[in-house]
This record gives sequence, structure tokens and C-alpha cells, in this order.
Amino acid sequence: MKLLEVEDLSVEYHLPQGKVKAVDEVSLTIDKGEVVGVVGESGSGKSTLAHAVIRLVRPPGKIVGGRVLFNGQDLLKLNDEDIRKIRGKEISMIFQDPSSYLNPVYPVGFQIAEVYEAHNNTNMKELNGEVVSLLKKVRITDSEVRVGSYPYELSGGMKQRILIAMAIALKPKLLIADEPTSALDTTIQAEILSLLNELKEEYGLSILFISHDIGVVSKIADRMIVMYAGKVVEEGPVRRIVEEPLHPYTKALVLATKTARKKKLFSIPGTPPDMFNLPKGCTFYPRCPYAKETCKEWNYKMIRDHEGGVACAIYENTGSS
Amino acid sequence: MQFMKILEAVNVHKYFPLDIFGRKKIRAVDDVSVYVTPSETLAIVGESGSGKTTLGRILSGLIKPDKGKILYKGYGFNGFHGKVQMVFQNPDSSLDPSWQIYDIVSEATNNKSLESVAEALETVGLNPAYVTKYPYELSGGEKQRVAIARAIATEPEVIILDEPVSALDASIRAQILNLLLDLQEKKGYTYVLIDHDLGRVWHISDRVVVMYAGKVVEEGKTEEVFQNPKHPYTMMLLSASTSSIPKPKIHVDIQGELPSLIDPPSGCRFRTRCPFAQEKCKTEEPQLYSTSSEHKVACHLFEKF
Repeated sequence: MKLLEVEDLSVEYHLPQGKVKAVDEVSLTIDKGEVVGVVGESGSGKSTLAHAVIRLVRPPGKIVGGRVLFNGQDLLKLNDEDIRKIRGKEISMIFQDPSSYLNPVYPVGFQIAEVYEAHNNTNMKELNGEVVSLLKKVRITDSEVRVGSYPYELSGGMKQRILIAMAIALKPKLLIADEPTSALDTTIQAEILSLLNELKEEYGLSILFISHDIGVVSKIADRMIVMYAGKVVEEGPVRRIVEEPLHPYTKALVLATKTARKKKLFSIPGTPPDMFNLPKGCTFYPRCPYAKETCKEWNYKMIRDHEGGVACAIYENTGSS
Repeated sequence: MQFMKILEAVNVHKYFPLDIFGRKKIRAVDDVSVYVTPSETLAIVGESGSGKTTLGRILSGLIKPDKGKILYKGYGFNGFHGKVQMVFQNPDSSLDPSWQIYDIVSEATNNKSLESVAEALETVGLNPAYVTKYPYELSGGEKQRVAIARAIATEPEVIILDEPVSALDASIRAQILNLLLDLQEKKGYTYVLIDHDLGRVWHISDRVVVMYAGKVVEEGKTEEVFQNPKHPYTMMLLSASTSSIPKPKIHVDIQGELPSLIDPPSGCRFRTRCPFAQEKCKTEEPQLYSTSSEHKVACHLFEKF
């Protein structure tokens, strides 16, 4: 059985300007110990998807359909009390900007200990040893001293490690990482990625890794999902997607990372779509170099094979490639 | 290409005081010399806190160095009169939200005619009708084009690009980089590109300066530095990159973080993170050694690499 199965999940935002389908019938699965990357531009719905999996979508956003099966249990049907027991313990999350998720007036060690207290009713005073060893695990030097540090005394990379420490404190099965390295320097990013890889090996942790950067995702993920305007446009093993992208949008993303010296970069014409006013048919056709007249009428369909799929009219008649 | 330095920083220092008595100072840029020749692209790379943005601001005349001097075509700084311009990372904070595009683009120019503003907008691929719009009506990529139009409106020779695409979406980045390459080809601009992304630096720069903790640790032709790095820090940056760039011969694992700039380590500032550090590195600060005519490195052990 898959650890996580998301089926036709849809999330809408109801705003004064109109309705936005941020996540539109998205399906994905994650196996135990697997890392799945979700790639897309801002506004593609990748972050909303991450939040929807553990029901953290806040109004005006609303989950309007689909199922999220975690170990066979539909998280969307649980009551608030039960989902709270799963968050942090079974599924935990880390975010892009660690500073805004740490309380500036408490020592970080205290904030980590709170995680244990909330879920296990353990006494805070007895937790010092556990917290210190957890800090060692996320490779924070001088961990005995650092438990007493306040967030402002730590660098961005260290704060992200503190959040990772909180996230893995109760040995969850699934970690949702929403752009965890985007606010960090390249060097710190490489360290955080190698730490996540290590935790995955050690705990058999599954990771849902959200990023706008296909290069970062290819460093950590086993499989990749590419989102555009709320829909999955391509899915498959990372190596296949990076070496042989199928969807024109994925092709463009991959080509844009191929940096030949002083040559023009491949660029996607146009701008990301207006989510209030999506084009009919294929949402990518106004920017697509392969677009045909029929793409305006095309109905979204994922053409699947055994290891992934692509949602593009080009592949409609040739079958899966 | 004529070998002349169009813009040059000579032994510049910039210390930011932490208290009013100036007892503690952040040594953001510490005795740095760089130059850029006409129509070339010089990249300045390093982690945040390396001093690359401060150096860019000194080069653009936005802030004055505490020590050292800035030379434009060999002469001292007395206002660049629009000949050195700057494009910032985030157009949301660099464009005044209450100004129309016309006002933004024409602010620094002497020629405030509508035609010249429209022409600047066209050059950067925007519809001239945008003159009456406000920044909030534009997408991120369009706003950055306005910032570029503002920079080129004064007919500059040097443009300092401080992380010009880092805040933009992946699919828009390529458009803006292509625009910058286009403009350079057509108008012969000289660029100073400040960027932490080595893929972009590899893609558009001719020469590169690597900064660490306020110091230049390596400089040279981009191809030379990327393919044959001589400083362990450069190797570490190259090893950490997720872009498709040449992989260094010696892989250096990342360890530690940038040291304190208030009280930097003695000797070589990188020694606290360097896997090759020796006793000498603690006591003696490395000078910039030349390994070839244009390739310089500040490492005692460079001959080993």
C-alpha cells in the first residue's frame, strides 16, 4: 500500500475578484521512503497542494473535492481533533522562511520540547537530553549551548535545521517540505539537501518536496510532478524528466537550466497565466511553441504509462511514449 | 576589446558601525580592488554576507567607501551623471508604487520627452502605452523590465545588476537574461553582475570575482575560474551548485558557515571552513597571488590545486 495517495484533490480560493481553482483535480502517490518533488512557477498551486494534504488551507481557500489517503485513512474525513494528532506526529512540515515559524521570544530548545509535550504529555524538564541529541542529528554544532539560543542568535541555515529538528522529533512517516531551501544560500542549500537525504535513509522518511527549482528537485527527489495553473502537466522519474521532458512546459523549464556560455537561453514567451481568467482548453497553449488550433478545445487528460504521464495534446494519438 | 578599465575600485573598505561610538564594526568590504573593462560582464559571486552587494553599491556610487577610491575612466568620483546605473533585485521595492511608469523611467534623465521614455520602454520589450500605468498593474517580469528601462534611459555605460532575476519566476528569468544579453550586444553596455547563482554567472559573465567575508579570494576569466578553480572556497561553491556548470576536479564538501564579520578569523578568513587549512593559514593572511596573467587567488596552498 502507498503511504500517501492523493486523488483528484481540488482547492478553490473565493476572492472578491472571483474564484480561483488553485489546485485542480491533482492526484499523486508517495511510497514509503520515497521523495516526490513538485515543481512549478509561483501561482501554479504547488504550495496550496502541500498545505491541502494536511488540511492547512485557510479561508478564503477551501478544499472542494478529492481524497487524501494516508495509510489508507482519508484525512479529509477526520475531525479536527484527529487531524491534529496526525500533524506533527505522522506528517510534519517545513517551510520556506524559517524565521516566521519560530517564536522570537523563546529559546529554540524550548520550542522543540513543546513538540514532544504537545503529543506525548511528557514533562518539559526531562526533555533536555532528547532535544540536544536531536540538535546533534540535524548537525548543529555546540548543541548543548544552542538549546538555549534564541532565534535571532542563529543564522538562516541553522533556523531551518531547528525547524527540521522539530519536524522529525516524533519520527513522522511523511515530511512535507515547502521550498525549504529557497531562502537560503547555495552552500547552505546543499547542506540542507544532504541532511534531508540522510534523514530519509535513516528513518525511511517519505518527503513531498515543493520547489520552483528543477535543479534542486533533481538533487533530492526520486519522482517529479510538474504543475502549471493548478494542474499536473507531467509526472515521472526525475532522471527521465530531466533528460527527456515530454510536456512543452517541462521542456522549457529544463532547457532554461541548460546554461551554454554566452548563448541565448531558451525562454518561454509570455507570462504565467491569470488564474482568474484561465484560457479555455489547454491552459498552456498561449505560451506553447507547439500549440495548434485544436489545443484551444483540448480537454485536460493525463496520458499515463507505467512510470508516469503527460497531459498534452501532442501525445494524444501517439499513445504513451 | 581595448584594455582599459572603465570602472575601478581601488583598495576600498566599507565598515558599518554597530553602535554610535563605532567600537564594533561589520567589516563588509575589506580592502578590495576590482575593475571592469568596456563591454565586458564582470560577475561578483559569494554567499550572502560576503560583501558582494556592498561592493556593488560602492561601485555604483550609492554609498561612499570609508577608504579607497572609485575611478570612472581613470578619474575620481564626482557623480557619474547617469553613466553608471543600477538594477536591483526586487522591482517591488525599487519602483515607487505611487509613480506612473513615465515618471519612474524619466526621473534621472535630462530628456524627459514622452518619445524618449517610449523608446526606452520599447527597447526593453514593453508596450510604450505603459507610460501611464502604475507598477501594481504590471507582472514581476514587466516590472523588472521597467527597472532596466529606467537604468538605460540615462544612456549609461556601466550597469550594475544586483541579483537582477533572483526574485523572478523561473520561466521569466530566461527572458530577462536574454534581454540583458541583447542590450549588451546592441549598445555595448558594461555589466557588473552580482549573483549567487553560478549557473547564471557561467552563462553570461566574461570575468568573475569570488568574494568571501569581505575579501576577494579568487578572480579571473570565468572559464578559467570555473574549470580550474584554485581557491578551496570557489571549489566549495562550485560543488554546492545545482546548476549545470563544470564540476570542480576537487570536490569540497560544505561545512560551517560564514564567520563573524565583526571579528573575522586571523590569517585566512576561510580557514575555519577549509578542509586544507594549515598552521600558516592561521597566522598569515594570504595575498592575491597571480597564477596566470589574469587569474589571481588568495590562498597559501594554491600551487597544490
